[in-house]
Amino acid sequence: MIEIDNLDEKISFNERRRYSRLPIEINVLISTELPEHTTFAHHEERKSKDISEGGICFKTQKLIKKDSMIYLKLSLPDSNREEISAKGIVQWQRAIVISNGKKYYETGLKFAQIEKGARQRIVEFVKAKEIIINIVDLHKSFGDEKVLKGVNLKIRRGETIVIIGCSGCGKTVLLRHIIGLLKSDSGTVEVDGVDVLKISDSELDKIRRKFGMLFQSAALLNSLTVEENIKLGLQEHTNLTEEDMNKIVKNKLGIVGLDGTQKLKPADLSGGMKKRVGLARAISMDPEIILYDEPTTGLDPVRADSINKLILELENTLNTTSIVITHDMVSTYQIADRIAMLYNGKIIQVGTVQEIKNTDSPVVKQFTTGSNVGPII
Amino acid sequence: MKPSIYSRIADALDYTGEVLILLAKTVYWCKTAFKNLKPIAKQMLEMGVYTLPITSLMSLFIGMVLALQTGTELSKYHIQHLIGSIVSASMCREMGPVLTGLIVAGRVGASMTAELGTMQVSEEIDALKTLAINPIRYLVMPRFLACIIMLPILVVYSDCVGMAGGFIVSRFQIGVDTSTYLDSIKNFLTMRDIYSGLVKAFVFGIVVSIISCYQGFRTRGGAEGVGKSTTASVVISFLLIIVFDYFLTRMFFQKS
Repeated sequence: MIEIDNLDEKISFNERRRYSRLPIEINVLISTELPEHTTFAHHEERKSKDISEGGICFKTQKLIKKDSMIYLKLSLPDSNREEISAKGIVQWQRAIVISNGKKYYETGLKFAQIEKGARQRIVEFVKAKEIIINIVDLHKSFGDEKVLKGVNLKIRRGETIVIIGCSGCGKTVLLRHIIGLLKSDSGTVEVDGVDVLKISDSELDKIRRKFGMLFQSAALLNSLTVEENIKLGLQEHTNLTEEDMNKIVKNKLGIVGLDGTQKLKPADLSGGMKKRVGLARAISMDPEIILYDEPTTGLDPVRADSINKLILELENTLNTTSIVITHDMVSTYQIADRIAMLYNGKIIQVGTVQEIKNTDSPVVKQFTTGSNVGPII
Repeated sequence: MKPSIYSRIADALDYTGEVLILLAKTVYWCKTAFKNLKPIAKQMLEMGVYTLPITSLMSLFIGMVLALQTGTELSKYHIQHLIGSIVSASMCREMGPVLTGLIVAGRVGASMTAELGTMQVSEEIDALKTLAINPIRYLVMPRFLACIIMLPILVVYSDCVGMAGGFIVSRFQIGVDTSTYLDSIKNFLTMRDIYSGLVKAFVFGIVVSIISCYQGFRTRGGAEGVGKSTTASVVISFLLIIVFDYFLTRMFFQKS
């Protein structure tokens, strides 16, 4: 056991079990100040099978001794370089695991004690790196036309991922599967570990409360006023008073720059205004995930820019996960944490803005540069 | 290629199944009726009150025509004092429920289909789903309840107006006096005549609301699709009203 002074919070990470079935991509650096005489047996790189219960264990664990500090580095080989540090007592856990008839030792780490506040920080960090939406081998056909031919995509909590692709390549179809508006022919779409394509309507409604969606056409209910449109979700799912709901409506309309339009009908609004009201409605319930279907299509560059800024602002202020569908590369580079390219029914590349800009794929290169010469016909 | 008879039968069965599923789901969501009184009242207003003028006019003239047709014939045999009974029975048993059903299908059903169809093609129904609002509960249930409540009320109103129309013709054209006309109604009109009409109205209410909403939900392809759905909704509702009318009449009036 490694011990450190000034520890005032006991912690167990049993709640990690809740996430244990989700694939976690994380690289954590935990620094522990150690007395100088401390010796440590496990200093080599180790490989554990999977996330062990009761502690945070990762694919590889490496202990680095530097000065009076022991650094515990937990990582996946291909994960990114993000770090989080926490002081605490870490305890080696050793268990006998029997797998495929073979017996071997599984080694993991457990926080016995940890500094105050670090727990929350780590949990938030881990949650932030969680895969919130996991799409596996998704197929969808309409008649003889195969639109999705095995889409695989992992979306992390809190990120803004932009799905790009040619018109009619199935981007909206993919988005509709994520929120359960379409049923796939095969494959799974897991949201927080629940396959939305295989659950009942009432369970699906519970999942949908995590979402907000901005439709390409805004899809405002024409028979209702702007205010009533934004209140829809609040009236259905909360017990808020009329006064409180009015405050929320005012606040959300303020965010999209349309406060004062409460009593107007959608028919009285311009296309851009409709989109912004649609966005206000999408965020009315403070959703965890917002889906944007072509948010800037049909808007002038100034309005498009304001929508992009709004998306970024929402990501920062509400910490939402955003999935944006577009073929507007200016917007894409402005808002994306990661970009996924859908082509020929499959995701052919996922990467950061820089990775996409430096891509070797001729298809991605042609699409992002807007050239008419290349494999895309 | 023309669809084969088997695929047509399969389509018809498919349609029937989906309509019945929608009916079952709508009945299930009626459990939330007390929480949704406002939209139900709005639909009742739309369906009942705004339909009154056309129902009044139609019932009045139907009553008048009935009195005129029967009165002229009965006068030949000097039994015109029976006009009241014939007009009232015809109105309560057949004319009231069937004509009101057809009016509601044509006026309210068509507008329901057009409204829901437009919502469908403009993604408004999908927007409701993304807000975790069940479209059947939010859109169909209030229309369904409004229809099955308002149609019987409209039928009672239509019966009364029709009998009044019959009275006008009997009194001023055929020459039957007021007390004779009223006595004839009192002596011959039975409770069965009245409640059979009300049951018919209730069933027609179910038919019109469910068919109209179903057609609205299955609308595809923009304005053209909305037009087609609306036409189909009216035609199918009309047909089903006549078909159900036959079977309900058989159920109430066939001698065992």
